[in-house]
Amino acid sequence: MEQAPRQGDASPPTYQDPSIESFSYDDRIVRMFVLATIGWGIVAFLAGVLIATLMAYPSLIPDLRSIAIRGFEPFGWLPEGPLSFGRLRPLHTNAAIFAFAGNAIFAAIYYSTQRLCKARMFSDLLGRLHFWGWQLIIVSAALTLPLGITQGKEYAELEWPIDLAIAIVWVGFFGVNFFMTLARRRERHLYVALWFYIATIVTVAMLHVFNNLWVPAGLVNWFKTGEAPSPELFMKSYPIYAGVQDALMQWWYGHNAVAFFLTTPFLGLMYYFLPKAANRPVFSYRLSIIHFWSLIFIYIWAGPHHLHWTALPEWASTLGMVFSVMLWMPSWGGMINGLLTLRGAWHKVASDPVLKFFVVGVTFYGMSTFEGPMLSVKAVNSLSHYTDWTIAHVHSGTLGWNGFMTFGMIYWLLPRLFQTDLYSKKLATTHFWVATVGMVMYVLAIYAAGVTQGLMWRAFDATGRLTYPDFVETVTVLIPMYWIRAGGGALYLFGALLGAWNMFMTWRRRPSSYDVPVIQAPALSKTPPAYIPAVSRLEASTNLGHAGDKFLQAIWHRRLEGLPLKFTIWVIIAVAIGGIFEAIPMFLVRSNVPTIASVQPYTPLELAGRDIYVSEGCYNCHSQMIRPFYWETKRFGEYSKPGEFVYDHPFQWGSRRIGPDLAREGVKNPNAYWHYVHFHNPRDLNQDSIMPAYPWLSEQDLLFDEISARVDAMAMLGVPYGDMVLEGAAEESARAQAADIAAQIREAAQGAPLVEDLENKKVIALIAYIRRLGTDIYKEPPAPEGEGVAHASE
Amino acid sequence: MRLSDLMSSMGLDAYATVSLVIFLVVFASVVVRVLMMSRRDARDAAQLPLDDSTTPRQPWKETRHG
Repeated sequence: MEQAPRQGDASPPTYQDPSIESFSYDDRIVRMFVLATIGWGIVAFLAGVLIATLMAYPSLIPDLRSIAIRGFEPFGWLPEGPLSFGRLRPLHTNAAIFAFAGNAIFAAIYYSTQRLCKARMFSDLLGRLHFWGWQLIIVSAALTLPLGITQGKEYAELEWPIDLAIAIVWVGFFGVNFFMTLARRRERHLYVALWFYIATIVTVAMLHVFNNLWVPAGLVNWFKTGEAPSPELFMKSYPIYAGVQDALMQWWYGHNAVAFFLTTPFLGLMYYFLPKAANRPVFSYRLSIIHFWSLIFIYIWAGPHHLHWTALPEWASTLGMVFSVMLWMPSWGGMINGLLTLRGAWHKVASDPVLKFFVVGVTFYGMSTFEGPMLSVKAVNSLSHYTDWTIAHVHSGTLGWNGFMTFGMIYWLLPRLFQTDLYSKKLATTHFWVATVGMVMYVLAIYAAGVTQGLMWRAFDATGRLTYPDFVETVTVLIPMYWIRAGGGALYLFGALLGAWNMFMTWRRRPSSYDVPVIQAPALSKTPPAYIPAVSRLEASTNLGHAGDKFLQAIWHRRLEGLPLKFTIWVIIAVAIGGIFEAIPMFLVRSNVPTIASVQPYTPLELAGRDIYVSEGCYNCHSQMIRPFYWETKRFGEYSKPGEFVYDHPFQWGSRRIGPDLAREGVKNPNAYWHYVHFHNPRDLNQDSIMPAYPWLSEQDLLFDEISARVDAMAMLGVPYGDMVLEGAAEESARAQAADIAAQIREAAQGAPLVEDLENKKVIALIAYIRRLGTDIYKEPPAPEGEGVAHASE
Repeated sequence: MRLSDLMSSMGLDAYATVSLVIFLVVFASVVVRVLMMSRRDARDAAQLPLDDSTTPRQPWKETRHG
C-alpha cells in the first residue's frame, strides 16, 4: 500500500514490496533524558541528605554561617530562609519524583515506544519541546520552592503558573507526541508496556487538573483594581476545595501520583527492559494483562487510606482500606512476573550489574507493595501514621524500586545510546553495592525510628498518664537514627555520583558520529486485519451457549488491544469510575461535612498568617489533625471535627509529626510572647527542639496593603467575609489586630529588646493564626441565621 | 443553590456497593479473557520487546494475531 513519506524516514526502501517503509529511531532525545535523569537525581539526593542532616543537626546553617577564619566567613553567603527544612523538603520530594523519576520514565518511554511501535517518535520537535519544557518546570520549581512560593499540598506544591506549564508540556507536547506515535506505528499489537504508558499519561493529566483548581489571588486582584501585585501575591493561589474535601482531593491525587507516576510507568519500564536485559520474554504475558487491569482499576480508589482516623467519613476510609488490601494481588502478581522473567538466567545476575539493579528493584517493589496495604489497615495505621514509618515506606519505594529500576535501565542503555562499551562494569557493580547498603541503612534506621516514636506517643503509665508527656522526648530519642539515615542517604548519593562518572567516561568513548541504523518494516494497513468471526466450539448447546463461547474466545479484546484510541478510552473509563463513585460524592455532598455554628472565617491578619504558615512549609513537620484516640486527646486536646476546617483553603492536616500537632495550639498555648521568642529561635525555650529558627519573620514587613486581595479571593470561594471585602476594611482590621498582639508581646517582654515596629512584622500575623487554631469550637455560636446549621456535637 | 446542595439531594448512598459490583465484574471479565487467550497470541506478544530486527519479519505481510 502506498503511504506518504513519514517524518524521520531515512533512505528509500530497498525492498520491492511497496508496503515496506524505512525509518530510524530518535535516540538523541533518549540521551538527553538520561543525562537529565542523572543530573537531577544528584540534586534530589543532595537535597535529601541536606534535610536529613538538618533533622539531626537543626542549627547547621546558622552555625555554618557563623564560622569565621581570621574574619573571613566562608559560608556567610548561605541564605537561611531558602535553606530551612520546611522549604527544602518540598524541593527534595519534587526533585526526586518529578525531576529524577520523571526524566527516567521519559527516557524509558521514548526508547521503548519507538521500538515497540516500530516507528520513530511522531515529532522530533515535540520531543524537544517536551524535554526543554520539563527542564524549565523543574528549574522554576527549584527557584520558587526555596522562596516559599507553594500551594502547601504535598507533591502538588508548585504554584499556578507552573501548574499551567505542566499541563501544557504533559498533554500538549508529551501526550500528543506519544499518542501520534501509537497512531503511526507499524506493529499491530500494543505490547503491555505501552498500556502502562497510556494509563500513566491519561491519569496523571486527570489528577493534575483536578487537584490544581485554584483562584490566583494576585491575578484576580490585578484584573479588579488594575494595580500590579507584588511577586509574592502574584504567585499566590487558593484551592477551590476546603478542609475535608481538599484533603480527599489532595490524597486522591497524592496516592495516585504514586500509582501513576512512580508505579505504572516503571512497570512499563520493567516489562520492556527486564526482558531485554535477561534476553527472555516476560514470564507470563497473561499475568501481565491481569496485572495491568486490576492495578489501574484498584489503585485509583485507595487514596483515603492516607486519611485514616481523621475527620473523614468512616465509609470512605474503609473503602480506601479494602481497596488497598486488594492491591496486594496485582502488585505481587507483577513482582512475581518480573522475577520469574529471569527463569534460567539467574546465573547472569551474579555478573551483570543491570540485572542486579533490576532484581533488587523488583524485590523492593514487592516489599513496598506488601507494606503499603499493611499500613492502610486501620489498626496498623493508628501506630504508623504521622511517624517515620511512612517515610521509610516511601523511601523503600523511591530509592529501591524507582531508583534501582532507573539505574538498571541507564546501565543497560549507556552502551547502546553511546555505541561503545560501558566504561566500567566494576564501577557499576560498586554503585549497586554502595546504593544497596545506603538504602538498607536508611530504611532500617527509619523503621526503627517510626515504630519507636509511635509506641512512645501511645505509652501510658499505671496511673493512666502519658509516659512521655513532653513531645520533645519522643524526638530526641530518634536523633541517633536520624544520623544513620543521613549516612545512608549520603551513601546512596555517592553511588549516584559513581554512576554519573561512569556515564561521563562512557560518553567520552563515544564514536565521532553515531551510527543511525535504518529499520525496515511494513506499514500497517489502515484497517485492522479482518478478524475471522469466532465460531462456537461447542457441539451440543443452546444458542446462548454458542454465543457465550464466541464471546469467551475474546477476539473482541484482541481487536481492542490493536486500537489505541479505544483502548485509551477504556483506560479512562476504568480510572474515572474510581473518581465518579468515590470522589464525587465526597467532594460535593454537603452532608459529609457537618457544619459547626461557632466556626468562623479567619480574620484578615490570621489569613495572612496562615499564608505564611503555608509558605514556610510548616505542614511538613506539624499535623493539624487530632485523631480520636485517648492518647492523642490527652496529649493534644479535643479531637478534630470535619466542620472545623470548612474555611481552610488549602487544608493543612499534614502527614508527619516531626513536631507536635497544632490543631489546638491556640487553646493550649495562646501566649503571644512565647511564640514570638520561639519563632526567633526555638532552642531558646526548648534546648532539645529540632525546629528551624525563623529570625527573618521578625525582620520582614508584612504587606498589609495586599491583605484585602487575599480576603477577596477567599470571599470568591464562598468564605463568608461579609463587610470585610469593602475597601480598606480588611487592612484596617489587620492593623488593629496586629497592634493589639504587638502590645501584648511588649507587655510580656518586660523591657527585653524587641524590634521597633513589631506590629508590622510577618511574625505577628503568624502568631495571630497560631493563637486562633482550634479555638472556635469553644466559642459561643453567633446568633443563628439561615438554615442547615448543626452543632459541634455532630 | 450550590452544587453540593444538589448532589446532596441525589441520594448517592449506594455508590460504594455499586462500585464494588462494577469492580468484581470487570475483574472477572479480565480473568476470563486472559484464560481464554491462545497460547500463541501470548507468546507472540511477549516476544515483541526482544525483536530488534532491522529488516521485516517473514512473511512481510501482517499476520493476524489469533
